[in-house]
Amino acid sequence: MIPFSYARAADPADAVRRGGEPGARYLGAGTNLVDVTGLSTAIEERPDGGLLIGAATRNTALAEHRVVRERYPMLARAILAGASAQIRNMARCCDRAS
Amino acid sequence: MTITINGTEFQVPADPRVSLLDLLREHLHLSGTKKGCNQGACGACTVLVDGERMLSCLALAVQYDGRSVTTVEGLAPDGELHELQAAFIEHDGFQCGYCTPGQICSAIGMAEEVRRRVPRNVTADRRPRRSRSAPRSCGSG
Repeated sequence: MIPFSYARAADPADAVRRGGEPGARYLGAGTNLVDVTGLSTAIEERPDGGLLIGAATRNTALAEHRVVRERYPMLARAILAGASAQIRNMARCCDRAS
Repeated sequence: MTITINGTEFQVPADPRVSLLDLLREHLHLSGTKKGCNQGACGACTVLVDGERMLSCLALAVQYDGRSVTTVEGLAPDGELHELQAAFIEHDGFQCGYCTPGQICSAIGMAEEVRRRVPRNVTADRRPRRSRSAPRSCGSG
């Protein structure tokens, strides 16, 4: 197995800095390197009526959010149509779809 | 860095490549959780992390620093059975039993999701919510 080091990003700037290091990769729920799960998991309503969704928001949290279910039901259903409950509990918005 | 497993704190392995599943089975000898596919497809490795069902094969142990994990061994006090374990026995809910710990942990996680009213897609044929570890032999109920 190929050895690697693991680091958890403290904030977005830290994530960008660490991600720029040679060989670095970002990790959401489960492959390797710079762990970005510590970044924002907030779902905030914007003044213009939109939603700002943190990159580290878990799929389950997004699909069960009241505002998402009320105003963006297709988004909730799309999330629920994918993977399994276990994976939705782990996967983050920033994870790349395989 | 520590992870709490069935109520006891353990050191996170120094090597970040250790999966949560291997930490449980190889390092801590908690072999109840099974390695069925090791790629997130079968569900036999399902454990509860802070009460939520997750796949331990897709998790690096190091990511779970500070979290609380419950495995099948920790569902009930020593010598006792969780009511779902008892129900599986009473209703003959398994054949070889290899995936059963994952099924049970997944079902307990699912019950918590139902309690929390986490939504699910209802399919056209109105199939019930699945626990996502359903090999052909045991069927999907």
